[in-house]
Amino acid sequence: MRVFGSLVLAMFCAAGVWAQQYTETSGGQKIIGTGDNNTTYYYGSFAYGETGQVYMYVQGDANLADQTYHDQILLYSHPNTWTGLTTPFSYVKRLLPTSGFPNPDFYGGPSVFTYGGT
Amino acid sequence: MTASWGPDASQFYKQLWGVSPDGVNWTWYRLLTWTGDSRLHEFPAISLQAKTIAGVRYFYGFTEIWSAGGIGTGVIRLHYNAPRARKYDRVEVWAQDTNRWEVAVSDPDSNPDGDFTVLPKKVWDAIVQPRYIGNPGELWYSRLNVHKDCQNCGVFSGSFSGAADRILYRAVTLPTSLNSLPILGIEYTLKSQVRCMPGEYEHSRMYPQPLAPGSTRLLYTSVNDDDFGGTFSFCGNTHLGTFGGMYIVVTGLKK
Repeated sequence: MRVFGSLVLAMFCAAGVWAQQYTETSGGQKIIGTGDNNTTYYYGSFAYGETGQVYMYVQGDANLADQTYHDQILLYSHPNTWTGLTTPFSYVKRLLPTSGFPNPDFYGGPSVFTYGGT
Repeated sequence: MTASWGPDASQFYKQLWGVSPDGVNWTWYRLLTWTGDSRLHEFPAISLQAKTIAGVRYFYGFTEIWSAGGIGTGVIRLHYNAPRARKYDRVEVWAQDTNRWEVAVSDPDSNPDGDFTVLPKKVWDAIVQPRYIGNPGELWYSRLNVHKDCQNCGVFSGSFSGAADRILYRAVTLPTSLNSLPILGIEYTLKSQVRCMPGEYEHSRMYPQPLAPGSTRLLYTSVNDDDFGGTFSFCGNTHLGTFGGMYIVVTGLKK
């Protein structure tokens, strides 16, 4: 936990003061999912930056085969070079459901945070 | 990490809580289980940050609230306790009935399902999918069903007036008193030079998640612009449904 929290604090410190008026001026490429309604189903996300890696926690399904209970929480990652606007993230693992939460439907998108240094 | 959990695709009255040493491996607990009528009140999204209020450490933030009166957002805080495996020992919400902070779960170790009946207040209407950015404080969110004309917008053509989404954000000023609410600043609408804003159809831009790696500001969102050929029709195009085919995009932000 300490390493993770420290890295997050470093990210926040590097962020500086956010301006109030923002405009999207670049990017817009797909990084997870294909836009094919027969094969992919990703929505809700949380990006998490570290010195060497960006994590993307995504709610979704990879095959639409079980839309009744379609939602999973999936973890993707990307090397943190900050040129990742065009490079797909790589699948790492499924975080939910686990054996402790059977037959689920997850919603709302994962939300990630830390208490720095703990 | 928090994640909502329900028994089917229409009820989300449970919240899960994940603790991780590395961001990859997670141990899951049940944070909250609403024991009232799940058809009337659901809490499908929670976004927290580690904050200190009046010298007291919390996981502090916002929760989306669904009710018969519509969708909105309230506030929630978890009292930090490092020795506990869950890292918290008490959950509080700003309550509908008393209009103040109330304890929803007093001891998660003795109430591992997080059963609670204190109804959180929908403090801000029409704020959905709240994402609390901690430093400095900003709340990013979506607004659904923004009606618009989709002419001259992306791949669509023709006239259209229907459901669409936009992304907004407001500064968050935390209270200095344990008994107060956070204050939200002026509401800004995100502008875009690269994608339609608002989008052309229901749930076209969802779950805004900003990230600021150094001097680069990025925004991750859910999009469905490229999914056509299904059954829903917006702006003369069709797609499978609300979520089918959705994907994640990243855009660069500049002021």
